[in-house]
Amino acid sequence: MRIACLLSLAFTASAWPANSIAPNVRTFFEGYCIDCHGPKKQKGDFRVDELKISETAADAENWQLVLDNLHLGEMPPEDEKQPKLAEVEPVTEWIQAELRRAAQLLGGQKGEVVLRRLNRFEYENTIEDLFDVRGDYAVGFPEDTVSGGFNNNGGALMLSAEQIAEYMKAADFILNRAIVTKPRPETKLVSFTLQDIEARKKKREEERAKFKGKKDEGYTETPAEKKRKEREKATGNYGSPFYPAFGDDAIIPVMYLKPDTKEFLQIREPGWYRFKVVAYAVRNEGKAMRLQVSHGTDNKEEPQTIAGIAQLVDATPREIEHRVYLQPNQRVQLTMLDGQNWLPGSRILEDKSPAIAIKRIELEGPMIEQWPPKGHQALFGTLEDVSNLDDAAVPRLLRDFAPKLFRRPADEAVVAEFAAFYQERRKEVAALEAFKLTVKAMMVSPMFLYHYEPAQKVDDYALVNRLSYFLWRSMPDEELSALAAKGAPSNAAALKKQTSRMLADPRAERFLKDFTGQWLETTKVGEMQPDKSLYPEYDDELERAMVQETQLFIREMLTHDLSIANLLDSDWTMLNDRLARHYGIEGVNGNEFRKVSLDRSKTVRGGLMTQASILSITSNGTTTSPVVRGVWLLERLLGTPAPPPPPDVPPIEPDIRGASTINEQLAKHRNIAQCAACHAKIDPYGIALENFDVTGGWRDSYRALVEAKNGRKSLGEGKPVQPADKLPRLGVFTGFIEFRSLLKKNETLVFQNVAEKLATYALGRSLGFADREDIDQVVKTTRANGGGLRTMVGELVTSPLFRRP
Amino acid sequence: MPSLVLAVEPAESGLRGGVPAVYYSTISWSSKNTPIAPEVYPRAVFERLFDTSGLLRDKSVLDAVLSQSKDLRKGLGGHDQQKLDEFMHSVRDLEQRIERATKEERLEGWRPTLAKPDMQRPAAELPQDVREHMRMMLDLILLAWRMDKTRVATLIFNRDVSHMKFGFLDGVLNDQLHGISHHKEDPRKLASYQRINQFHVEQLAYLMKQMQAVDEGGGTTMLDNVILQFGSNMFNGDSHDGRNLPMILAGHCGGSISGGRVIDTGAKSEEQQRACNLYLGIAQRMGLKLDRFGDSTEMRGVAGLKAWLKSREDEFLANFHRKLLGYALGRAVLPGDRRLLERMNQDGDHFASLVECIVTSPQFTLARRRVRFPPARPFTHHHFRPTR
Repeated sequence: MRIACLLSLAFTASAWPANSIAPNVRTFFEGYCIDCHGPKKQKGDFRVDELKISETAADAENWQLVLDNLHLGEMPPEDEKQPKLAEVEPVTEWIQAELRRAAQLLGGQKGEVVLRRLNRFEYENTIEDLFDVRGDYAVGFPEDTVSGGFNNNGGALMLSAEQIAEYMKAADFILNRAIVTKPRPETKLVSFTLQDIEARKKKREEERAKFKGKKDEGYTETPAEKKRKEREKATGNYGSPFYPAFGDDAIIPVMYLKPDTKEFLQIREPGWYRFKVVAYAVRNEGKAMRLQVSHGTDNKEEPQTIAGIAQLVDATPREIEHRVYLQPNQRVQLTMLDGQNWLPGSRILEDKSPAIAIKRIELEGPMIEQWPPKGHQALFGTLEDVSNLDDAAVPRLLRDFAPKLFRRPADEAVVAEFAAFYQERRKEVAALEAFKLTVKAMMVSPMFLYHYEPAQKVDDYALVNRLSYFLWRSMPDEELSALAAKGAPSNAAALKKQTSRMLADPRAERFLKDFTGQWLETTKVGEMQPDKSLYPEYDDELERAMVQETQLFIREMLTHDLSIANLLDSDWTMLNDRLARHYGIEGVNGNEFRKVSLDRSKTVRGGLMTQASILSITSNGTTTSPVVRGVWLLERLLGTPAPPPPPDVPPIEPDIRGASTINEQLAKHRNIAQCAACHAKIDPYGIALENFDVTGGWRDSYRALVEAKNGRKSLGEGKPVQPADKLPRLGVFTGFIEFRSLLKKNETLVFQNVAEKLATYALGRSLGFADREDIDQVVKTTRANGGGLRTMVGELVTSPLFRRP
Repeated sequence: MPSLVLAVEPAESGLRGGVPAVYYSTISWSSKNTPIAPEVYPRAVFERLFDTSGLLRDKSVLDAVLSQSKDLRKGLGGHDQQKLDEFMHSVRDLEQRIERATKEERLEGWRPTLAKPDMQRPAAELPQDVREHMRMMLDLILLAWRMDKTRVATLIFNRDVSHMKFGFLDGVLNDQLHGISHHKEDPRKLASYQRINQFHVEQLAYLMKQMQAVDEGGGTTMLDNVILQFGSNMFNGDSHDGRNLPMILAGHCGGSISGGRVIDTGAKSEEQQRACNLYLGIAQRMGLKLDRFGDSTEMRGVAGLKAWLKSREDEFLANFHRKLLGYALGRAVLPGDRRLLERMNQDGDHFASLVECIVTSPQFTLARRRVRFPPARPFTHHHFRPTR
């Protein structure tokens, strides 16, 4: 009672002096803002005369908006009366003080949800790291909702009975895979050649012929069959293509033939397998021949996982080796990507087109690194035979296992509860079955499914969890847990050391792919396939290379702690031959990616904006839209999102009769007053990128399909591109290069945006005004220390923001 | 349980002619491209339907999770509690579903005619005698329907490429059914083929007889209330001819189908012969709101659209009435107008009578009492809310 009294006193005391808006701020509003944002007009649905002192988070957000607009110089608009700097500064200072006050007052009740469940990606990674189980058990999980650009936002991650049912099923699958009840499977090694495949095929055909002979007595051929046989006789081609001999080896003569391992080793045990092929190029005349190693099932509908693509340049045999995870019934397949297509009736033996010779194919596995396997050990320690589980040992097993699964020490009471559950089930079923049910209950428990953090406090365990799910997208390893147990992560140096260690670990690849994929939307590459007739050069290989460039670009920045300014412009990028060809950059041979220095006099490439992935996702496959590209730049790179289209105005179809270039069309759009205010802020960013086509290639004029006399359409040249426009406050530009230089003046925005995106992703929540100061601090320290991306990650995880509940 | 998917021969695995063989060995699909492998073991069917110990064990798991969540909830802050409540609600929801699935009573008005299975728990292994196996599967369907465990069941006696031998039937060659079906007009094979087909129809007759013996009250038997479809996917197995399929429909489907008829579709157009038209009709009689199924005759051109609209005349008219009323009154149609809309629906065959309905209505002739409207948003078309 007494405490409540005191609190309310404290509240009144601190709220009173700031209870009104400072007179100079009011005067400022009345002088510069109220005409458009007051009783007469409410542009942008915003009124300065209704601004209140921050009592709720919404009030504070409004002040933040005013502050941002003043800082960026967005308001008042250029064509209105401009305040002097000396007038603006006291106003921004007062607003900043007001926001700090609000942050303190409202900090604890911002309405941000922190209890966040594992999303699908985190769930799968955690299972992989804990049990070493991989499989398609999560296909039925409902899609995770995206909020604030990421799919790990605690507020948006919902749960339903369907999902609980899916978790139950997944637990069954995972436990059945993890617990071994059979003896250690034998590791088998098969080694074979293309001749072996041929021999098996021949044997099969012979057997079939025997069978056919008996069955088809008195069988008359249909006319179609007759015709086919006659044609085969005439062309000298009998049946399907085959692997012709080449010296002691045999070759894959046409792309149609894809040798695989299925007949030689049928995969029964899921696990890691070692695949090796010894191959060389034949008749290639210096041209690189690509050999793809992929794995999957025979089902043509299912996508294959590509393990790698090797380039063979000469007749020196090369060993290509891959470690692949195979599920039951999968096989490894070889595909020749360059070479002749097979046409029925063509003669394989006479064909002298480039090919790949195969010396030997090997498959070995399952490669068992530990026995019992990892998941079994996580559950039972060294106990191998669990068919007769001792009831008395179960509480101990559960006690050992619970901290691993829950990623923090488990209360004795919790363990006791599960042990009691085991006893209860034991009355009905056998020991192992009861144990599985108990672990299933633990795997559906919120302690596992949620990132549990004790109320009001992020303790050391919660901190290493945040760190681990941020940089590994999975549970902490033993070193991190030990660190938490020692209470060490409070130490900033230790945290930074861990960050470096974690980023060097292969698990950081998950963070890299997931974060770049969602932040820069590179997961969307390929969703809008370019029109084949307009962009015949676009293919799967280019598509894969596009995504890789961006991912590796960010990875390079992380590994070598390169400045975030590289996102805007860089004198290097990551290329392989295919992408370099696309960009018109010479001297890049071979399909492996490497860092390439860019010669400023020869190429415009450099920075994210020139990367094909970004340019392709902001196009619809046929045409580019400066509006979409502008919005992307503002949202994803500069972090100053354009306001969404008005809610109660349908998309206006501007009258674009007579306008034929995109610039003219947009100008018509921008002439409509309703649209002009925003589109003047959006379109220039996209117009600057007009020289890049939908595949990210450079163009000086638009591509068009020109109709020839015979009615066929062929590629031709359209109108020239006009990439000149004017950026609000930054000035005019005549093309992309000038635009990029102008944009560098806004470099701070990029730093701030990366910090915000990283924080949103790391914390799994959207940021509020109360986080602003910490973000600014992260940006400041990062820039003072060279502005590197890894530095920023380090600053972020040691920032108070990262520890805030 | 949504449906029972049964067979006497197990589904073939692997590929056949480049196509997954399951296409040839199931007739039940959970989606356009998800075949359901049929169950052949009577014991497994019995346990799934009538022995719910597995489901009950799942429920105990959920119970444990729930009680643990309650403990956890105490240590959480307000917003976290809300989030956990969402979790607990989902768990409870799933528990209730299991409860419903394992409960004997039904919420629907109709009561099953049988409370406990009156059939022995089948042996674990497959019955060796084909006759016994087929009979047992039919009995299981009958039992499931009597206990209202499911309302849809499919059963395949023999799959397309059947290895089953029917030598136990008089005068039938002891060859695989598939071989016999490719009879090439061989009189011995033809005779065997006919006898095997007869045997299949005898099974249908058995099921119908059993259903006729189940009294479902109100003077109806089970056969009056079900619809059974029996047939093959070949007209002539020898030449793989799948056109003009003979099919038998039995049961009155709650009185919506009259029996004792032979419908010859041979004279009709190819489109009208499609089996999917029949399936669609059955589905619609089962109360499913489907417009098409598989390759059932599609909507084609303006005429097709018109026909489709016509099939939804009720909805079209109801919408038209609402629009007309809203226009006349100059306000949104409100729940209170329901009665007037009903009247329009009854009386209004013509436009004039609809107008009359409206202008004579109290809504049109009397002033509405003042109601309090929610405060309108100021007229602005644009917002400028921060997204971060």
